[in-house]
Order: sequence, then structure tokens, then C-alpha cells
Amino acid sequence: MDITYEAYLARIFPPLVSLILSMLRFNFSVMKVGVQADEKDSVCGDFDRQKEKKFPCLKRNATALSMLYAAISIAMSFFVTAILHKELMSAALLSGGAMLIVMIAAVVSDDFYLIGVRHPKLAPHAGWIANLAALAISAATSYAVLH
Amino acid sequence: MNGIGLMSGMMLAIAIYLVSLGYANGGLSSTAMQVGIAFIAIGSVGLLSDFASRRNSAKKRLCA
Repeated sequence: MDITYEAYLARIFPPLVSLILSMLRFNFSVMKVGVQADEKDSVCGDFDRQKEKKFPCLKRNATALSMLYAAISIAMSFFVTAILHKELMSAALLSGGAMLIVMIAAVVSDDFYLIGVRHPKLAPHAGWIANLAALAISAATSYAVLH
Repeated sequence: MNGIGLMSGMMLAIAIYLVSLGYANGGLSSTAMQVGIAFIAIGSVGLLSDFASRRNSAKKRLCA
């Protein structure tokens, strides 16, 4: 079978976009702009002090969101990869269901948001590390399916 | 569940598909089956470390 670079790129595109966005600190920037837009009714409290320190109150939520995007990008990439094998749709749906359960379990767990408390050194990099892992998982899955 | 648990869970979910694909196309010698087994191994280690981390922090909270 002749496998093109486009075949790989189409399958790993969602985690690649998510990795680039996480490296640009996309979630944090959006949250920060959101808070700054409503100066008077800020959820962070003590607006001027938070602004000086670059809104530390938002960092844990931004990291959690980055990790969740990594998981969502894996799911999207997986379905791009799996949709071509019509005979294995039930297995694809089973995997998709398992992914949904894992994501819900993470979102409702307190530990997911407390990485800054549990692992203070790792926390600032957790977002892009998760997205890099997502890219590796998607690339390995594409390789396994295409070969 | 923390970030490691999330990624490990995703790997295990994909492993279900890869193992099925490998089983349908050549069994143990197929690439899909081998990658699926590797995902199961890495995902299980990740999930175990997630459980261990949670147990550790629960113990610390009890001691404090």
C-alpha cells in the first residue's frame, strides 16, 4: 500500500493543532482576556494585584483545559483514523465510549485541577506535555492502522 | 484522576480498537496488535501511578 504524508497528516492534525495552541498558551490567554474584559465584576478578586501577577488564579483551570483539549484531540484523531474501517465500527464505538467515560471521570475529579498543588514543578508544563503525548498517541495509532 | 490518568485512559480506550483491528488482520504478528499491546502496557502503568498518587495525597491529608 502506498502511504502518503497527507494520510498521516490528516490523522494527526487535531493533536498537532492542539499542541501548537497549548504551546502558545491559548487557553490562558483567552481566560485572561475574558477576565480583563469585565474589570468590575472579576471572579479573581483584587483585580489590580492579580493583573500585576499575570492572573495566577486562572492558571490551574487553563492547564486543566489544555489537558482536556489533548484528550479531545486524541478522540477526534482516532475517529478520523477509525472511520475508514467499516468492518470495525462496533470496536470504534466501544473505544469512543470508553474515551467519553475517561474524560468525564477526569473532569469531575478534583485531582485534575490540583496539579499545581500536587506537582508544582510539573504544573506549568503539564498542558503542552499532555498535548505532546496526544500527538505521539495519535501518530502511533495512525502508524498501526496504516501498516 | 489527574492528567496522567486521563492520558492513560485514552491509551487504553484506543487499545481496545487496535487489538480488535490486529485480531481481525493477522493476529499477534500484526502492527496494530503490537501497538495495542504496547498501549495497554503503558496505559496500565499510567493508571496505576495515578491511583498511587491519589492514595499518597489522601494519606497526606489524613496525617495533616
